[in-house]
Amino acid sequence: MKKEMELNEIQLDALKEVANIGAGHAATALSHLVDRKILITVPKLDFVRIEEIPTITGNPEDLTAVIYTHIIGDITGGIFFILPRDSALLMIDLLKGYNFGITKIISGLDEEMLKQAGGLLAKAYLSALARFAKLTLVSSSESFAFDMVGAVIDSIIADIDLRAQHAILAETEFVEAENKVSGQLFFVPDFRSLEVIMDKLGVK
Amino acid sequence: MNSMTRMINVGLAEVIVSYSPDVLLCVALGSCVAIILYDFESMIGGLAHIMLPYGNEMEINHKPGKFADTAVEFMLEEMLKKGAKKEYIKAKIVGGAHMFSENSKSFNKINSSIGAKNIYAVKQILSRKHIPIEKEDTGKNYARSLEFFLDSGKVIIKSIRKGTREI
Repeated sequence: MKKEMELNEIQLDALKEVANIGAGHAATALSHLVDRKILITVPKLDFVRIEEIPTITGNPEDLTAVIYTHIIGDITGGIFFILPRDSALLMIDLLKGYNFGITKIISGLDEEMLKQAGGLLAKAYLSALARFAKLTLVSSSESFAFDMVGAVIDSIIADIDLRAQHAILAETEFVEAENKVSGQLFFVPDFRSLEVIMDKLGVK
Repeated sequence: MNSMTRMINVGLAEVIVSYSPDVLLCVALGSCVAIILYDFESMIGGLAHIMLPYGNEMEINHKPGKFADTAVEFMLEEMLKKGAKKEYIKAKIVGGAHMFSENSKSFNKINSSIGAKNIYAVKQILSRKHIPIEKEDTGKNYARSLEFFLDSGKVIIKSIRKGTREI
């Protein structure tokens, strides 16, 4: 049996700092894009096992929006942002500057908007990680799915690496005035890449 | 309905072989494929929830159900052990969707073809084993869940976008 990989407080703090820096940059870019002040915060960061992901994201058949970005470079893997249906609708309201509850269905244009917001977040997170850990990372343009969450995530894991065992989960909140939308950002390095990251962060 | 009917969920990378009147379930298939084998005479059937086409030698001790080749091998063996006859076995396959819409500039084309690769491999593997594919509901771009009824061989497929159909 391979030894179970665990992260200590210091390691989690390092990853949390990366996530916070990334969220800050994403918020700046997004605010600029929509021309309103939007804050993005990471209230919680966790190191989870791949098998735990379905229990975190809810019923596998739940309709969920997923924005997925593939990563290559010094490390390979994937990063995906998930918004359950209701949160996805609120996110569209927030991005458009509508009152919550206005958007009832996701149009093609809305889909582009969600893709852009999720992509911004993923890229900001990756560039923070690249700077922090001195890595060169290249990300693909983002892909979008709106369907059963279990099916989407299994397809992503099959794409990244079936041997990947862990994911870094950043609970992420988009805030504008009193309005708040929560989503989950999962970063899944492939089998070898997690060790590279730990090594580079000096916390292996 | 028989009071002893069991509903058995076949999770990711699992293979389950059982008898009538059990019902085998597979929830939220994306690029994964459900390979269903059924012997109409003995009413013994199996379901494999595979993720990728072929077993990887680098990964020893993987579950047989993770890959199409090892899953079919394992499932067939289990069915024959339980009394199924090879000449009565027919297959149905479900899943292998392409879950994402991409920009044309996306460099990542691996993702776009995993479902298609799975379907292609499953068909090759079954044909090599001389198991006819009776029905299929594969490809496209949406997720599917299914129920496989071992008392009849009937498969009910549900999706959010396309509703319910039977194969």
